Amino acid sequence: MFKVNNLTAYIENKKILDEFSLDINDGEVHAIMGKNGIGKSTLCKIILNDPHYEVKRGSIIYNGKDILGKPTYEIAKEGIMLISQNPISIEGVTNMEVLRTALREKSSENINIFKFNKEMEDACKKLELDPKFIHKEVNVGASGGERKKVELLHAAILKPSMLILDEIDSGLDVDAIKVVANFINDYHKETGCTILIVTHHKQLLDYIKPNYVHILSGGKIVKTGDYHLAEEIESSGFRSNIIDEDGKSE
Amino acid sequence: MKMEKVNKILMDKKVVNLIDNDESLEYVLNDNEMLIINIFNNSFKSVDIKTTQNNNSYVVINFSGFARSDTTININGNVLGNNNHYILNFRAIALENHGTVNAKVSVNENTKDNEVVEDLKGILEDGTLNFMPILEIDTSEVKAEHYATIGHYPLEELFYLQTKGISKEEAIKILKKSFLFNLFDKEFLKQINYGKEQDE
Repeated sequence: MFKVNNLTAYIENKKILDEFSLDINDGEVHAIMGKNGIGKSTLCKIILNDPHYEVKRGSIIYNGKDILGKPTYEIAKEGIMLISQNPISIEGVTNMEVLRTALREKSSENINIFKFNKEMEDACKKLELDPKFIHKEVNVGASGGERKKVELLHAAILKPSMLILDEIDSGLDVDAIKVVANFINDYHKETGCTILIVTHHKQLLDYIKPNYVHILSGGKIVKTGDYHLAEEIESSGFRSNIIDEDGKSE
Repeated sequence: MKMEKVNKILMDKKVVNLIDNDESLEYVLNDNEMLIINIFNNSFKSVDIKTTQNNNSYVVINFSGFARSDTTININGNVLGNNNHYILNFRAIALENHGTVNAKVSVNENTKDNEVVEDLKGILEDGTLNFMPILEIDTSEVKAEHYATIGHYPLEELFYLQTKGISKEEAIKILKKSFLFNLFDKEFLKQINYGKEQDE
């Protein structure tokens, strides 16, 4: 169970989340939609305790533990992985080095190289990604689409129990969206992981069907529905009565 | 500039690889010579490095390491003739005390088609650094650039690595290694053996 309770957060004294709450049962897929700058990415980063944000109130419970404010690597070790909309590049550090270090920290057992290589090759095949990427510097010179795929490659190796996908569809062409979505669906099916998707558009949700869609506005969820809510938003926009009828639009 | 780019140029090439160097160095290049100096110091010493270039020559100095005690490093490049390249890449992590780096390149008057670049980067832990990149250019027929940045480990990179489940301590080790060694080719990295030491 992933549970956010009354989270209130600021960046540079500007309130971004206001008593935000959200419950996700294990294995469910939830999508959060909302206008630009409304706090969707902020929520993702706060879950992983990005130091740029200040949380004034609330709690985030995962697997029965309050993870709010814990060191980022401990939250990741609990099984939560964030794939951000613009994965950064790091010169001089290869994907292999990152994954080996992460695996070594995760378990005291020696890395099974055969298993590692097999999982890596399978993931690259599914993602239509050149296996050479594993030896390349993290996202250096990679396109937007390649970066998203590399991050999913990391997921395939590190096996998180919860994926937070922050606008993973941004910068992807139609074919790449299908590849990425198929990979995520397969991963969800194989592992039963929990997924939180943040997106502007319905397109990704055509491929990854969420159990619930939430609309974020004014720092909190103002509307929850099923996949059809995303369809309504797509046709009417965020300024429509879908939000306004509840009197909770900003 | 990465070494691979340099290696493709057909010239008489000399590569000097030095680990924990504590001696001053001086090189005078003849026409059509290339000199690559790679230095890694686990603890900086106060040294002087001087190069003098005549015509059609190439100097690359890749110098990195840790500042643990009060030191002053002077790196001077003298470009006397035409069509020379001088590239200095300097990386320092200040662990303790104070490190000063005076990096000066002089390009003579009445010369042309020379390119000089000084790129100095520092990361502060518990020490301090002072970089003095100086370009003494007496001609307008030159391309000259200098950069000097001193800061801390990039927060974004630290956060990214930690989102993979890597502790802050290990993330810093990774960033430290990339910062110091991204300058060097595989052959020199084998000699340094730093990564292996860290793993052990």
